Amino acid sequence: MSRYLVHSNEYNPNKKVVLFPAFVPSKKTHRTSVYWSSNVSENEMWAIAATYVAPARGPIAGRADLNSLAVYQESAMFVTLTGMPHARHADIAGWDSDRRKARLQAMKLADASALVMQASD
Amino acid sequence: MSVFAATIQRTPSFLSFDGTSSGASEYASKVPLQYREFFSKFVGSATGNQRIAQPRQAIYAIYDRCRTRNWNGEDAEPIAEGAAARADVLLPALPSYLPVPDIYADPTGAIVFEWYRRPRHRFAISVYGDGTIEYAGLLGPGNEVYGTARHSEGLPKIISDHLRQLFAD
Repeated sequence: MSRYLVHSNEYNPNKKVVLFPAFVPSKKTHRTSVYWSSNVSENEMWAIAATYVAPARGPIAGRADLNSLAVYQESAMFVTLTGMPHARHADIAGWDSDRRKARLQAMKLADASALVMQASD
Repeated sequence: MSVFAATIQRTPSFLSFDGTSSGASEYASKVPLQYREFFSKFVGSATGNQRIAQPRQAIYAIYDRCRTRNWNGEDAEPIAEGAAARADVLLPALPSYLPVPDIYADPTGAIVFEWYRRPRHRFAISVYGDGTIEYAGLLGPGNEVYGTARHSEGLPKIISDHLRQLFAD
């Protein structure tokens, strides 16, 4: 699955790593928005981002690609398919209520992710 | 651990010396002034520019971009000026053996210093305006840390201990 990256605090292109703020859950929903990316072409992944993510969050810089197993390795965390606004949309849920522990959880997901930058025109 | 060894471990970076003097002599009163002159020249040097001036610019640029609520489009907390000021004060307190950290914004309203070495080896501190420092780190497979420290004088010992472990090899 993939987490789309927008803000400069979410990735380090020089070190080619994803940073923990990329996965910190929304304060409002306590969830982190992701998209299932299995058997999806690169073009389609970027098209999904442009249509469903960029309007709310801003221009897409890249993606953090990770295996959903990384989520399930954290006790109580899980991925739930919402199907909205796109059929492939899902949420990472079950974050620890302790902000400090949740930060560590986000750091582990970032560490398990591969940074994919969107090619500039 | 002997008192001497404990003192050495607690000795902060000289750059974090606040310039105050408890001495009463004419010479003691000159120490703060001389320290400020030394620090000013250091910041202007190539090393000082890299370790202090440039990171300081980054801190305040982040504060400027992230001082309003929802700066990331996902309900991020604003970063207070106090968080930037405390992060600025921490810069000269970082041990000189450490590389300059990556500096960025924490959506919970803090300035982050992160040191990344390789997969499963990274450590980050989030500096808040009220003096709270929260940290999280991966110090090798199966070795994870997180917690809270208080910023008063220099870098909290538990944070310097974790950094020493991160850079142990």
